[in-house]
Amino acid sequence: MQAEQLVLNPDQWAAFWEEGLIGLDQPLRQLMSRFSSRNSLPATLIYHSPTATTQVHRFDLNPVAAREAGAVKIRDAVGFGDPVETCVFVHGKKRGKSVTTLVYSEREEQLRTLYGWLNRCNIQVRSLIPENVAAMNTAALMAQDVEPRTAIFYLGANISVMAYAIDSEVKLIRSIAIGYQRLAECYLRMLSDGMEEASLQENQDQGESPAGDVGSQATKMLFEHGVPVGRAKVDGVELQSEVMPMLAPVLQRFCIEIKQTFRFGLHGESMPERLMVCGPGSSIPHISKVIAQHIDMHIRLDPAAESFSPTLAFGKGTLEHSIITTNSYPDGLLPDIAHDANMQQFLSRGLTVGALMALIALGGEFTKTSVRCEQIDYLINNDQRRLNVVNEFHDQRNEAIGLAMVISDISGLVSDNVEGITQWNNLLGELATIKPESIRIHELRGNIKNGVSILEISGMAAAGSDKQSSQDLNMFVRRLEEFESTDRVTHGGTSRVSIGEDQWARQFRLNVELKTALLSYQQLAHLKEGEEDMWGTP
Amino acid sequence: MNRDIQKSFLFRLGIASLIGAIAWHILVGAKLEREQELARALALQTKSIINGEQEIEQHADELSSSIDRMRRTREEMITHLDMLQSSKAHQILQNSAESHGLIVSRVEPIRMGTDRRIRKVDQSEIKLGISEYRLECSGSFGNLVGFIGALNNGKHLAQIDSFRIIPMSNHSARMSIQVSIYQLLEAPELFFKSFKEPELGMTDAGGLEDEI
Repeated sequence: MQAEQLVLNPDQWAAFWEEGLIGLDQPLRQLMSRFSSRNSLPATLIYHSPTATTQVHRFDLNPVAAREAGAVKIRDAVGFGDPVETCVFVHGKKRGKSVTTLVYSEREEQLRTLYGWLNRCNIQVRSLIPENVAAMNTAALMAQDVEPRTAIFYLGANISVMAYAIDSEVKLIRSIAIGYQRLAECYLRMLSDGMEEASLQENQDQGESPAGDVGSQATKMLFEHGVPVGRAKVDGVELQSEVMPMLAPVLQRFCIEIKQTFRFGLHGESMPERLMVCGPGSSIPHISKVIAQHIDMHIRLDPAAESFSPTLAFGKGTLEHSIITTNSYPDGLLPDIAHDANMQQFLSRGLTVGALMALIALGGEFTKTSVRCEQIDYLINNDQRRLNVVNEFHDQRNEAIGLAMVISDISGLVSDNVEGITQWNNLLGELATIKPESIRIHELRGNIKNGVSILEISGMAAAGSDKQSSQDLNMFVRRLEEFESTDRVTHGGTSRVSIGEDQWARQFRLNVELKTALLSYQQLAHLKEGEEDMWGTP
Repeated sequence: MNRDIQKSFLFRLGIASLIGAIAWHILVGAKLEREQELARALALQTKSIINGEQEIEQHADELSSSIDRMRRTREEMITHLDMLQSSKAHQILQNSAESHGLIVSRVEPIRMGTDRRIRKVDQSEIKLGISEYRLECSGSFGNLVGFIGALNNGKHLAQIDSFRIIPMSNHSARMSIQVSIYQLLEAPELFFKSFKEPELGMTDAGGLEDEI
C-alpha cells in the first residue's frame, strides 16, 4: 500500500469552498503525482462535512425494508433534492427482531463540488463518505465485536461516536461533532502563544503553511504527551499548568456526552458495564484515566491502541485504515451528475461490450461462411476434371449436331437439283447379251422426263419369218423387263416392214423406264432442323 | 435515467445497430449469398456431371460412330461436289472420253448456274454450282458405255441429262450427250472445320489440294 498526505492550512478552507475547491486542484494533482500508478483508479473520498445529515432509526423490519423506511424518514428532513443513502448494522447472519439503520444525506451542491474537484484531478470517484458516517460504521462494527455489556467510545479526529450492541445487535449509536482535534487545538494554542514572530516569518518566507505545520506539530504533541497528569515539562513549559486548563472543558464535554448518551439513549435496555475507548484518539496517553474519573463505568482501552499511528496517512488505528481493512464500509453518496456519468459509462460499456460481441459474432459468421465457401469451392474444383469430360462430350455432341445439320442442308440442296443417278451403263452394257440375234438397234436415246429416266430403243427385228421376228422381239422385251435396273418397258409402236423378197421384219420403238438410285448422302436431306434424336447425326 | 442520457444511448444504439446491420449485410450477407450461389452451382454441377456421365456411358460409342460416319460423308461430299473450274470440268470430260478410246469431236458448255440456300440457324449460305455441257464423240459401243459408266460412277457428281447413240458400223457408234456437273461453291465454315483431321490437307473451300 502506498499512502501520501499533504498538510493544508485550515484557515484557507472556507475560501476554497467558496471557489468550488478550485484552489485545491493543484495540491491534489501534486499529491496524486506521487503515486506510482498512472491509471485513473476508482477512489472513495472520506470528507468532514458540517452539512451532512445523519439519522439513526430502529425498525422491526428486514434490512431491505429497513433501508427503505430509513430513506423515507430522512426525506422528511432533507426533502427530495439531495441524495440519500442508508446503512444497516447487521452482524453477519445474526439478525434480531429490529434493525438499526443509519441514513444519511448531503447537500447536492456540496457533493457536486467535491465530485467536480476530484474529476478535474482525473480521479475516478466511486463514492463520497461523510466522516461521521464512516466513523459510526466503524464504531458499530467494533461494538458488535467486543465482549458483552461493553460499549464503545470511538474517538476520531473530528467525530466521536458512542455505540452499544447487545448480542451483536446495535442498540445505540450516536455521533458528536468533536474529536481529538479539539484536544490538539489546545496544544496548538499553547504553541501559537509561545512561538516567536521571527520564526513564523521565517516559515512564511520558505513558502510553508505555518498554520498547517504548527497544527500537525500540535497533533504530534497530543499523541506524545496526551493529557498531562504529572508535572512534566516540555521545552521548559509545564504542560499540566499550561495545557490542562484548556483540555479540561473539552474532556468534560466528552464525558458529559457519553453519560447523557447512555442515560437517555438506551430506552430501557440494560446499561453497559464497560466502556472501551477506541479509534485513533485511544492512543492519546492517559485519555482513559481522565474519562474514568468522570464516568461510572469500567473504562478500557482498545488493546491495539499502543500500536496505532494516528498521525500518519492511513496509519494503523485511523478511520481511513479501518475503512480499507473492513469489507462492510458504507456505500457513500454521489451527486446526480455522478450517477448520470456512471450510468452513461455503464451504458457505454454495455454498448461497447455489445458491439464487441456483435463484432465477434460477425467475425465468427464471416469465418464460418468463408470456410463453407472454400469447402464448396474445393468440391467444385475437385469435380472440375469430370465436368470437363462431360462438357467436352457435350461440345462434341453439339458440334456433331451442327455438322449434321450442315450436311443435311447441303444434301437437301443437291437433292433439289439432282433427283438421282441413273445407271444407264448397266443396261447399255448388257444390251448385246440380252438382245436376240435377229434384233438390230438403230438408235438409243436416253432422257429424263418428269424425273423418270427413259431409255428409248429404236430398231428392227429381222428373223426368217414374221412370226419369228415377233417372237424374238417379245423375247427381247421380256429380257429387258427382267433386267435388274429396269422398272417398266412400254412399246412405243411396231410396224411390219419388207426387207427384201418375200422377207418381212418388225420395226419397233421401246421405252425402258430405268430405276434411279439416290446418292448416298441424299438420304440425309430428310433430317430437319432441331431434330436431335439419334444425336442429330446421320 | 436522465432523458438526455437515454436519448444519447438510444441514438448510439441505433447508430451501432445500423452500422452492425450494414456491416452484416456487406460482409456476411454477401458471403451468405456467395455460399448459396456456390451451393447451387455445386448441386447443378453434380447433377450435370451425373447426367453427363450417364449420357457418356450410354451414347459415347454412338456419338463416336456418328462422328466417324459424318466424317466419311463429308469427305465423300467434298470429293463428289468438288469445286472445279468450268474449264477444268470441260477438260476432265474430254480427257475421260478420250481415256475410254473415244474420239471427241465437240465439247460445248450449254449453261452455267448457281443454286443457293440460306441456313436459318446462322444465316450462312450454301452455294451449288451447276455446269451443263454437250459432248459429241464416237468410238466403239463398249467404249461409249464405259464412258457413260465413268460419268455415273466417277468421283465427281455428274448427271447425264440426255444422250443419243447412233450406230455407224458394226464396230462403231456416234454419241451426243448432255451432262450436268455439280460443284459445291460455298459452305459454312463449320462443314470444313468440325472434327477436322489435319492430315486431310483440305482447303477452306472444301477442295482437295491435289485434285485442283
